[in-house]
Amino acid sequence: MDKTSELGWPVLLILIGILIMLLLAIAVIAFFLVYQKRLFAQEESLRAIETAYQKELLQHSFVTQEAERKRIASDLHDDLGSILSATKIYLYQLNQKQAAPNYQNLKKEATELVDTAINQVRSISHNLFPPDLEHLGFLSTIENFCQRIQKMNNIDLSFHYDSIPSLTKQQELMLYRILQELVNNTLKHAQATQIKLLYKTLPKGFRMKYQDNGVGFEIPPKKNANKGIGIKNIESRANAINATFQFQSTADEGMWFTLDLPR
Amino acid sequence: MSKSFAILIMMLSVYSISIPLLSGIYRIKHLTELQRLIGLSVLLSLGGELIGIFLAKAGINNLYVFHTFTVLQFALLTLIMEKELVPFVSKRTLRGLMVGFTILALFDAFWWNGIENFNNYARTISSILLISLVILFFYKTLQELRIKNLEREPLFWLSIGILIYHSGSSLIFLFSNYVKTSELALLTLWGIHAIFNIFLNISYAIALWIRPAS
Repeated sequence: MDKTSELGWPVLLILIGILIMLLLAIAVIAFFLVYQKRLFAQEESLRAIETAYQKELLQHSFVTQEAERKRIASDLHDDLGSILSATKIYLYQLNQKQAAPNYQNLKKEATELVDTAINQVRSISHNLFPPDLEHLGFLSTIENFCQRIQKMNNIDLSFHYDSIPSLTKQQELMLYRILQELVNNTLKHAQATQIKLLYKTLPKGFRMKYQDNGVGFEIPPKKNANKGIGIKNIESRANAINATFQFQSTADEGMWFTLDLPR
Repeated sequence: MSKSFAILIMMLSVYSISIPLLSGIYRIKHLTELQRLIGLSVLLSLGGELIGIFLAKAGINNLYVFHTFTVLQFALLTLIMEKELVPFVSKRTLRGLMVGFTILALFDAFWWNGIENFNNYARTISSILLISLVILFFYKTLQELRIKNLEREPLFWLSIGILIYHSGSSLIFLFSNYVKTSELALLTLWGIHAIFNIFLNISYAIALWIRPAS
């Protein structure tokens, strides 16, 4: 009698079943090991992208800082410097005896130049840190800013808010800069006639909503290094205060921007 | 499988418990809490084997030892898995599983098979539940991606042992009471079980031997 007939078919079936179960168990283990390795590799590559992106953001903030310094240097040298040089010439002429016939004129011109220099200093300092934020507070600064934009650009800018949680000076400044960036983008590229701005307090924190009715734009994917400078500026400022934001846009229907600042 | 080979494998299977035992003793000072529990499981297996052999030599039915062993081993392995699975699976669910299985094993011992017969229902259900817990552990590990060096994770080695042993043995447990065709058939099935048991003991030994990643 051979072994097969001695064992009997039921036992053989059990043996086949055991073999199948064993193969399944080995398959589960193999799948687990391969999948785990693949997931780790994926996570590793995501981390690498994230690191590269953070590096890029940092690089961008250095570039922005340098550009800002360059602009201030140029403001000081080209505008304020030349005004002060002119003032010095006027004052020199006032000291000369031959200046007597048009003394009053020179004195008037020199005074005007000093006034211009004062305004120029005010403007530079305003760009560095809006003094309104210090003196009037966040909401009034935003209101003033909106009014100024409306007057200067012939655009309908509505600003609504319910209540605002207490914000740190850093948060106020970053929110102000983000708004400036958004408005600049709208004025430069969107061809919009209307801007709506809303500040809201949510149980989880503060929300800012910004909307224009311009031509819209193509939103670059997240963590994309080829974003425009404006969006990068917004991103680095939002990162600085741990805020999250989202752009939405439809062609010819404008752009929506939502920013959430956690408590 | 020839009769003599089956007997040899079964003998080796009994002695194979010494591998994790020696591994545990050698590393006793460095064992983590989880490894100590795995060590306890090894001691439980050793106790079961020794009592079983002693009773068999004395001519006393030793099958009731397996009824007790099944419950204790299941509770201990669930407790070990609990260390890693909570809070992915609630502690209450796992404790409920232990209680539920104990009740089921009592039914098997006193109603279905009887205390003097092999507890094939309880063993099969225990296998299915333990395989499920191992798959849950694998799933959780993939979800969290916390463990990078699996080869340095004691629970991974224990899980491999449990998965292979119980996948292979569950059908043997389930049908062992019905296979009465020949002595060779029974020896073949239990011989195969012995191979799985040796594999299980080797995985216990590795689980106790490795130095877990901090």
